[in-house]
Amino acid sequence: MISIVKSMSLQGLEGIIINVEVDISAGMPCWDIVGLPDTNIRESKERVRTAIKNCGIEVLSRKYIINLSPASIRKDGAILDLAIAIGVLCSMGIIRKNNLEETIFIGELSLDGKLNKVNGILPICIEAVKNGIKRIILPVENAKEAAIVDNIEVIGVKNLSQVIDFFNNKIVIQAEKNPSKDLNYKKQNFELDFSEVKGQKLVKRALEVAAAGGHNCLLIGPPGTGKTMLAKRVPTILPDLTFKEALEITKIHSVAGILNEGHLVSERPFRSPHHTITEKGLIGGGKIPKPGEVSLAHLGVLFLDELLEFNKNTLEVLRGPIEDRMINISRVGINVSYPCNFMAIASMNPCPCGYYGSKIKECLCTEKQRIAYRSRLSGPMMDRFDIHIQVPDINYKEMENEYSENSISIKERVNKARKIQSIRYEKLSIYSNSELTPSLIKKYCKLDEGAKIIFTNSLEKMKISTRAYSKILKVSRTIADLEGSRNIEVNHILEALQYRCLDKL
Amino acid sequence: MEYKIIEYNDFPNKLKKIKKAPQKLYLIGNQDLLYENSFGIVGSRKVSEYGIKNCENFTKELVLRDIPIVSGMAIGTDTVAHKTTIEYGGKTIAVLGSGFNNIYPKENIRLFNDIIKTGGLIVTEFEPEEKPLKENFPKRNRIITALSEGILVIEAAFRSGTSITVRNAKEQGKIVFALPGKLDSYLGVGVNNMIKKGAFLTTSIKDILENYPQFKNRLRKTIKRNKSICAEIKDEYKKIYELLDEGNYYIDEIVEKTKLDLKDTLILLTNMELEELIIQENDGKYKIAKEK
Repeated sequence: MISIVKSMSLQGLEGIIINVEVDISAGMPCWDIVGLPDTNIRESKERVRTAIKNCGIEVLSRKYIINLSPASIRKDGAILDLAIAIGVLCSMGIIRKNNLEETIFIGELSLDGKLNKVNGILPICIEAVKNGIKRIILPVENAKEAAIVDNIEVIGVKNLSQVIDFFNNKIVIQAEKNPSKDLNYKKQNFELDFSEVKGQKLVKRALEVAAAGGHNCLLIGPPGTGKTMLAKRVPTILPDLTFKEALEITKIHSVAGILNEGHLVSERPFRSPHHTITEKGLIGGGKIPKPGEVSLAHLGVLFLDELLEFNKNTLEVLRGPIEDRMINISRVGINVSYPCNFMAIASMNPCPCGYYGSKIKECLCTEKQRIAYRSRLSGPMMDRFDIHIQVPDINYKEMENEYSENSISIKERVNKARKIQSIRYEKLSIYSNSELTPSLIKKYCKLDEGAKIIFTNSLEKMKISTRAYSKILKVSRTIADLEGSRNIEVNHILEALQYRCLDKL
Repeated sequence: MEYKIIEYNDFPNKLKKIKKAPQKLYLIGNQDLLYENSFGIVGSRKVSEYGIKNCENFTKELVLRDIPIVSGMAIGTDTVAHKTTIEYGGKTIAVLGSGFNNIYPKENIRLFNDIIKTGGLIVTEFEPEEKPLKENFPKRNRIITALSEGILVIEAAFRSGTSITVRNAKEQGKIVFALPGKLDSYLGVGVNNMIKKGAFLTTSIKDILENYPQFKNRLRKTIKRNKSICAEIKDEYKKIYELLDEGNYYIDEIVEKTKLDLKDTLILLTNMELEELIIQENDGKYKIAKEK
């Protein structure tokens, strides 16, 4: 007898409904799974058979054919276990086949019939709703995460026998309730705060501008000047997440399996991969590509500490994603894209020994060495950073009691500037000044005659390359937004010119 | 590249009388400099900030008294000496360890051209096609010392090439002046050893000038730019300009010391930079722009 049960397979963040077709017929006893299953699905027949047996149901020696359709798509992961088991049980007549049409089954089985937690539940639910699914049966540990999605009945179950009882109306399982949509359920209580960093006013201001416009930022300075400390505090001044954004981040984190107890991600991510990371670790990869660090940093900060220590090829693959804010990974028979709209913050030393300009240790590197060191960062890569700023080594002992501004008040200004931007770009598909394309720069970064003359003058005098032209305009736009100014004024440009130190070298 | 050749007979006396004097010299630039009373500044290729600072200071003081500076156009101390001379409008002689078609080191080609442009002189005893061979450099050192009335050693590590220059100078009867080296730096070891062996411990420009009647009474030129610019400087710039006159500072330090608002400071600094009153150094510090 044939039975069809639905499940879902994820290709990136896109979900595809998989029809699990099970047929039991007389013949040579065997279990065969067809329809392009990956190794871990092929192995699931052993899990399913043993789990059913351990629920106290006799598995007869028959010919079991399981087809996963559409057959042309490669399927991965143990999440189809439950659907296969239910299909088999339906065909055996143990579960009555009523209203399975609009239900999907997700879950990995243990040999004792217990259901194990799986990754990627949130995107699965979102995609399921899109496909007209009304009910999802999944491991109880995943229920909370699934319930974030509206318009779907979430049934969390502990083990296989519970599912059998549920469908045979022996027990009732309450659908999981929607959790509160308020992102502040965990009151934003950052352990880090900008006020902890004394001095470095210039860098703080530069980071405020960067946060306000979503600009990528490069910090250059000797060790121990607080580059890492400052970068780690950037998420505390980034604008608040909207529910839509939180959902987007949670989807990616869910697929990657780094979600915290199924809660919606309520803070912007801060990812700081070590410099030994591979290309695939950074942009994502694998047979069925998983999101890499760039996607995990989506709508947050990707911090590249010791930028020049990264493998050169690894850095160069970042070029595309930083521009496109989307990464497309192609593998045999599969094509996946993940969003990666992040703000990059990188840090580097000014010279090979690291101490150029430092007061702690004398730097004996020659000018040639310094130039060679800096040129490890390729021009196109340097172009991706709108702001570069030197983090000097200054003795702050005397400033111990000095007042420094805390993150909340900086964030207020950033939020305001972002609001102006979101209103301005309402009809476009961009959110911040950093995303402006050349044609949009012409439209939105207009200078009056006076400012224009000073700007072209300064480019010439300061020997700033033409490719820095648009960067300076974008940063000026953000500075104007921070001040609530409609037009870009001369002073905004003059300030922006201070954030381009590498251009002068 | 156009060059002149001068034969032994046309050499200035100071060059004729040295041991193993070259038979001919290749020149580019202002030949008259050969016959002037010049002073040599030498030191190691690696140089600390302490070395750079003092090299700049001593060079400046000599240049302001119209004394041409002789050095070897190597990286490090030599480069600092040549550049400072040019910066303060002086004339400088560079003695190369290779031929004119193999200028070494390559990154100093710009300096090479600047020296010629500013009325300086490039000298070498080597054929134009000669490569910068290791053994050429000790040889050219004897010409550096021969052209100089005396030499000042800035920094030198133990067993540095500078010690060969010093030996040549002694053989030629020139006074060797040495800057005290830092005790905790390996770049101080060689130079301190020289002082122990009789080099003249030098702490101010007077120490040098007093030994030379021909230099002693030369007047120190005042630097023109300070007077002319200070008078016409805008009021709003004054605070920063006066601070930078004392020394070089980072932006944060400027904000701290002038108590100005950060944003205003940034705007002022860019403006001043555009008016070429100040420049930003590679390490991010601002300093007052020198006369062009």
